[in-house]
Amino acid sequence: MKSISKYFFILILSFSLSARAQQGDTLVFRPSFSLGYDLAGLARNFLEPEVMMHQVTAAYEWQPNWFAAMEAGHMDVGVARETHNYDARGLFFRAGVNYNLFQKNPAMKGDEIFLAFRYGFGWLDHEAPRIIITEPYWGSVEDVFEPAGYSAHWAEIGGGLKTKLFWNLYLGWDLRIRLMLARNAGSEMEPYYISGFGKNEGNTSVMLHYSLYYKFSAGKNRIHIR
Amino acid sequence: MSKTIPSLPSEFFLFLRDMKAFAGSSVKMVLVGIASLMLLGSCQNDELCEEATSNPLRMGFYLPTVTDGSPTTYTLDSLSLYGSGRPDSLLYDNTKSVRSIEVPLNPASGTTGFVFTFPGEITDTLWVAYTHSLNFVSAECGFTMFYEIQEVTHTNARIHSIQLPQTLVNHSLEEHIKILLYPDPEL
Repeated sequence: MKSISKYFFILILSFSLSARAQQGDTLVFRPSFSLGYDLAGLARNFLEPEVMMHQVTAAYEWQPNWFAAMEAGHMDVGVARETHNYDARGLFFRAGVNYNLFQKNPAMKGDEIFLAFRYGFGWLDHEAPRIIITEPYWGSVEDVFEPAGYSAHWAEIGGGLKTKLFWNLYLGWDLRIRLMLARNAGSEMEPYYISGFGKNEGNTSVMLHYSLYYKFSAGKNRIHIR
Repeated sequence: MSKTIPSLPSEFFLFLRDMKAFAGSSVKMVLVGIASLMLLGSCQNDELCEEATSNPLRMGFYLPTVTDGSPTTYTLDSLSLYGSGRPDSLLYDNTKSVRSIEVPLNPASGTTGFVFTFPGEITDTLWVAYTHSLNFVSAECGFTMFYEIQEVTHTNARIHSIQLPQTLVNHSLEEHIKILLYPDPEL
């Protein structure tokens, strides 16, 4: 996983350098608004049936190359094993900006290669309604973990591609690296998955999003001089 | 103003131009996306539990004579041991050369007793009173029980006294109870 993020950063760096090298004069710009749904949640559910995450995204391009973006979603975890059952339901919200590195390239036709910066917040309720502690000598015992709340917030950086399919429909992927800022545990039980953050294995997480977007124009044409 | 020429090799920009053309092709992008998704999926294949989920109580044998500020370690010639109420099920069956032992606490109870049979058929019973708390290991491994020792009592046939260097019984491999024995009566 570490090497994936390393190559990803090298890629982002090379795109940034190339964006700086481009020259431009005037640009006709029309603000746009896009709505999207993350298909990776469904794909991940296929690979890991215990976790279901739905995510919608909204982005507004208020000036050329700069998008105010937000994502919101819902998570549902249901783990059923021989030794335990674990359930969690949570919501999450992320807000930040996207910066498009290649909008000026005519070959791109409204496609984007972007960097993403976000602040994320997630909260959830979780419980373990059935726990079996296996003890071969004394015999196993059954216990429960009462429902408890949990919340976390984090920062994330990432980037990806977005390309036009047809009409105003776009498809794109987006890889995010998340860094936990703080957690607030309502009990001593750590959640398996944190809504919006991903698998709870330390203070970082890497997640791929694969979204379908619909883009509207929002506002009149504006001329930008560079 | 003359055009600024970036001081990077031209092959680098050719590479970037190729990258742009590549990014512009939605068919390729879909393929790249699916490939990375599969890659991420394969990284998350961790269905197996690789952590220990039982936390035994660890006890060591010592003599009360002090060496370097702590009791002298002692190796028993032999030891038999069972949990109180389970004389039919031995945890140690006449095991030779015993320096330390690992025994399970009963998760369904707040006290567990252990019956020791030392060389020469000398028996002692040691009672451990504790509180327990559930601990979540992982989705794969489930839960484990942590204990905190409250009190240890014992009979005095061979056991002289006990010391409690660590009262928390969890993943850590430390020794919890030092059992100080009277010197071997046969010596």
